[in-house]
Amino acid sequence: MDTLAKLHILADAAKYDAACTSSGAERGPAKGKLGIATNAGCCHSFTQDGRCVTLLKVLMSNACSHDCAYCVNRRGNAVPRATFEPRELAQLTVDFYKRNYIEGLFLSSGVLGSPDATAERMIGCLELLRGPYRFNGYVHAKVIPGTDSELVERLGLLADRLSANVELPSAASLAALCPQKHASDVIAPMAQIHETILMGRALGPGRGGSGPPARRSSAGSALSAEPVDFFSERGGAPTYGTGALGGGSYLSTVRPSHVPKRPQGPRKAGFCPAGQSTQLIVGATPEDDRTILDLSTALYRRFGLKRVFFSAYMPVVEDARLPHPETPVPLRREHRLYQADWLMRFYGFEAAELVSDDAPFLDLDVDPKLAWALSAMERFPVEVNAATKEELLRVPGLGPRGVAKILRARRSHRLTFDDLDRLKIRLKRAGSFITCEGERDSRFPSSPDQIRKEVVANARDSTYNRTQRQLPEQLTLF
Amino acid sequence: MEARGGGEARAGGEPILELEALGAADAMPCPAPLDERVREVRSLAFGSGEGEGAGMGAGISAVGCDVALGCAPTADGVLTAVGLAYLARLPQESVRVLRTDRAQPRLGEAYGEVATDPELASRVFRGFSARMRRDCPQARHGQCPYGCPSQCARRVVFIAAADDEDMPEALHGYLVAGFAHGRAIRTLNTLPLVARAEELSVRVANECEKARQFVRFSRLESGVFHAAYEPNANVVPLVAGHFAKRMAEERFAIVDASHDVAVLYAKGKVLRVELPHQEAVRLSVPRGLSDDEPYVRALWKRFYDALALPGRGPEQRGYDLRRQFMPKRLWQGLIELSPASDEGWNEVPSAYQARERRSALESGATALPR
Repeated sequence: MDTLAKLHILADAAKYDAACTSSGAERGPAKGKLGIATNAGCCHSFTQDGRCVTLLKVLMSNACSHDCAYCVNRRGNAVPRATFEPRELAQLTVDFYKRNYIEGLFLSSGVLGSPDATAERMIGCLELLRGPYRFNGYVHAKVIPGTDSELVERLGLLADRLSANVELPSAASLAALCPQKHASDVIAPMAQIHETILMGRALGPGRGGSGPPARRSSAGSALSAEPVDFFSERGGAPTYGTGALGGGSYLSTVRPSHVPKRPQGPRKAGFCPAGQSTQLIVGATPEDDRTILDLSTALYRRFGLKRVFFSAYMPVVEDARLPHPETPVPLRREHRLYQADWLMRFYGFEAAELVSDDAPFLDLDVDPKLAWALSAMERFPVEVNAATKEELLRVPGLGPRGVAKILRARRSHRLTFDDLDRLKIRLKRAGSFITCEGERDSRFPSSPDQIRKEVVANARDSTYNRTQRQLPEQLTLF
Repeated sequence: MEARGGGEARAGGEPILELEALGAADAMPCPAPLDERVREVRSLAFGSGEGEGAGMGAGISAVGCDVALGCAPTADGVLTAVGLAYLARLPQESVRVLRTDRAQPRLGEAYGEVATDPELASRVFRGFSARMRRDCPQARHGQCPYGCPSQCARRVVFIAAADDEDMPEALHGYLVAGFAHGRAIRTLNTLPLVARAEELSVRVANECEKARQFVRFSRLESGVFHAAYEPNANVVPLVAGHFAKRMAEERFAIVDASHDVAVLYAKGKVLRVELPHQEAVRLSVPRGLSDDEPYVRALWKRFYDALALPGRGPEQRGYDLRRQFMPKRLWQGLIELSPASDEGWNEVPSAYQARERRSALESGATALPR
């Protein structure tokens, strides 16, 4: 089978992990090597459905010996199988990288025989890439549940980021749908990765000498230095407060006063410099959003994850344990979960403010920040000229950029609604929730009832909601 | 670094592109002495009748008319105009700066054109940077207290890269406010001209990101990586450094036929070349593709096609996310969207033939087959 045919099969097999994984490591050029890594990553293309293509996301092999119910690559499913030669994949990565098609490699795999044998093959490919092919770009590797800890360590020294997928939001669902996977198999590598990262930071440079050489060049080190994580939990009880979830905490727009600033300086860990992430499937099993958000909060706190990705379940195989194959993909639910995730990581929200026992699901018509504001109308309107950054960030329609512009302008003069227009702050959403010099904008309603009515009507009228209403009635199982 | 007319454009001593001619910028006549140009600008406002003595030192007591200065739509062009207006002691509020190709002076406004003077422009820019740094300790360490990604002075370069008609006037307003208020300009983002300047710089920064995302290189027989890219602001020179870091050991050229500019890179050196339009158009077509190029393109297209997921498209969503993130104007350069990428290859290049790759590695060859 030639590379073209293999690539088709193995890219197709990897795409159901729908998360767009960008980057999270900053590394300048190194002499004699190809490539750099940037914190924000770079989306080089977008698929027809709008997902970004940053990395060459493929499976090493789709010849999987597991039989997970939801998975297109399950053993019992009749699909063409292929396996990359390590050299072939390394060559492909480098050729794509030089043409500016990708930022690096996202290597996952079906379980080829055993988890350890699969990991060995992945390591073989990454060693070629980092060695003879002199690739200095970004690499993300998946840890197959059940992989030996020594192999995880080797993988972490070659890759920028590791991820072990929790796959499903509860152990019960995992047991029902993935008979060969156990929750403990997923948690064990996560804990190991977290501990190794912490240890690497505590021990400083030289940790794991066999790691990819020259992780960081002197060029641009002042800008590329990533803050060292000193306030992560180290065995003890979580010390995090609002808005300080592990993942985005140092990027966090709001940092509570009791959380110390991360010290500046070059980071010294050679193991997994971009940390770890995970992914779970939404909509295949009956868990509510509250369970999912509590789970992701726990993962951020317990394992210092950088990101928790959500993939809307897409029916690919028929199975009595799964939703009906014609169930629409829960796109909006996935979107709402990401919005909630952002609110928790960057805006100082907690899961309990967004979902509760009474309303365990996020509202699909209205975004979570707006839904929260409508339930907390007593906190509005806020005065643009006096509100704190935290208060402004909680105004629907204001984001970190808009808030930053307001805070800058506020230093020299008091703001009017005309000023906000000039700052290109869109008042369509925010207008009902703010005052300038004590005055409300007359274009927007002022009574809470009226606000609720108008804002909700606006949101319900969004293109997405209209399209969904027009689609023919479809079956839903849950 | 060197660029010679009618020869090869070299960077780092290596030929990158064969040029037939260089741009007008290199052929520009030496500008007249500074004094003379300053006097000309001042006479626009006050008429040539104003005596020598009254010129430089007399301030603005005499009643003059408003002045519109036409300049090239580049950072150097605008900085020159601002510098000349300052040296001529014209009150900045009565000066407008326009791009010569689209200048429309108002009624009662005296119009004159200024030739770009890189030396004066650089003087103005150094003065501006120094003014910005003066009361901003963080600026010395490359950090801005307001958390802006580009520092106040660096923003000048971003504003100037915008194609908009009002760019020179927005940049002029930004420079004047910056000289007057120093780093506090960051807090004056509601002044109309400063707001407009910030808007332009954010737009250019976004366009830079687009270039980093969507430039596509092709490998030529010579080993040079070639790309043609047509952004809607002059950002190719701004992102050349990014690609130089990314492909430090390679040689590459990016040609922008809509701004008649190319950047060349080899061995750690980046060269920016202004080109006549015809030449830019000619160079934006890659000549002599390497043997493996068609196959690698087919691989990329196949990979891209395999990624599409059912049930998440515009029909279900109601809007087209792909077009939001990847504007249509850039599609023609994207290999993965061109049906031609699927065909075009006849044989599998040696690097993708399993046997040769294995023997090359096992024999310990340091140079891998391409």
